[in-house]
Amino acid sequence: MKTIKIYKNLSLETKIMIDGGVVCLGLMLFAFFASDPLFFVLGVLFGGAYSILNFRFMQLTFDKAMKIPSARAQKYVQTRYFLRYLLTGVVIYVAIINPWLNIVGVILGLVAVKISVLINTTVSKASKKNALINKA
Amino acid sequence: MEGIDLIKAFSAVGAGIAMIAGVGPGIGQGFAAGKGAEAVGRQPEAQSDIVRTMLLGAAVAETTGIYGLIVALILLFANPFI
Amino acid sequence: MIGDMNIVEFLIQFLSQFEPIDVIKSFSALGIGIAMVAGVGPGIGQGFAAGKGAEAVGKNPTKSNDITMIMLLGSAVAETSGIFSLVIALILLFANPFINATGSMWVLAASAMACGISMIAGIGPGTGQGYAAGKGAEAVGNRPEMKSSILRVMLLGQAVAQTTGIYALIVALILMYANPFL
Repeated sequence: MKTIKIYKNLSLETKIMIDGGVVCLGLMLFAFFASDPLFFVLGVLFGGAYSILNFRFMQLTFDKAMKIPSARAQKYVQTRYFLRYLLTGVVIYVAIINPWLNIVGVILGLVAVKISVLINTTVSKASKKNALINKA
Repeated sequence: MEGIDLIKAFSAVGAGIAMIAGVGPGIGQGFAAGKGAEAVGRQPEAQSDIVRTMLLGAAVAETTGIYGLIVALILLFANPFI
Repeated sequence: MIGDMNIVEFLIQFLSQFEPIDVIKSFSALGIGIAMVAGVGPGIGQGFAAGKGAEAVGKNPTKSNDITMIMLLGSAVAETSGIFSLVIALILLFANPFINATGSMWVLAASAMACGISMIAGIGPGTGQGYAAGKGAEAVGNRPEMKSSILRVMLLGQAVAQTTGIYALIVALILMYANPFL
């Protein structure tokens, strides 16, 4: 009960990061279709961990960008984007080279945060609204 | 020149062209950051809401760049044609 | 100019010295790269949506949840053309129908590249739908009570904007699986 209360009080960003992990767990179910489930699960974990890290980096970048004037914020965010893009490239390169990581699993892991964003903003909003309607 | 060299050469060109996709999210995120910084300048007390909206939008915008990157790296390092 | 040939004659002679299957594979690789260029469109469009959303939240911070939801719904739709081009690129990579096809090498190689070129059309729907998402977020910020009709109009506009992207996908699929030139 207490953990649920703590979870509800978290900011949306933190919730998205936690739910990104939950989505990764869900994506691991696809391992049943893969030829070697262990490598698929490792791939999802690797990709998911990176995508959560990427989201955190992005949050830090935008937090900082808001403190500087508009024109400079634009350049700052663009340079940071390309640095992150480079890092993503390294991650995908490692996933392709390393035989322990299934590339399909890594790609699914990389979109875990995006799925989490969409679930958090659209699905949970709707269910909350329904709950309110039911109460009334 | 062997046929395999031709495939390698064209794969390299294709990988390079695929990387163009990475430019789009860069331009878009830059635009978002500019607009966001403007909005924060006008209404500093709403900063956390503004940053949150922008962050979610940018997180969604990044994926197409990643798709391009994946295809380019597959062409370079895990090319099924070779 | 090479000798007394023009560039097209030279290219044809140069490519003729290879096995047809190698030429088809090469042009497929080139087509895959060109197909992914479509990723630029959704990137710009969704970024625009994020910016407009942030601006709208700045104007009306109490409605930030509604604005974010509209923006993300619009952005998710704008992603479609990027996914279409990814699908075409992955088909060309891992299930290439041209490798096992019989027919003129030139037609097959050119069709493989044309699949990629036709997917560039995805830039248009991506940017346009992102623009719609941004304007939708702005509109919800200005008039939150009209949220459901704004959402409906936005999704309708995006669905219409998607048609050119779907034409491109259909052309690419026809070139792959029902090629009239073979």
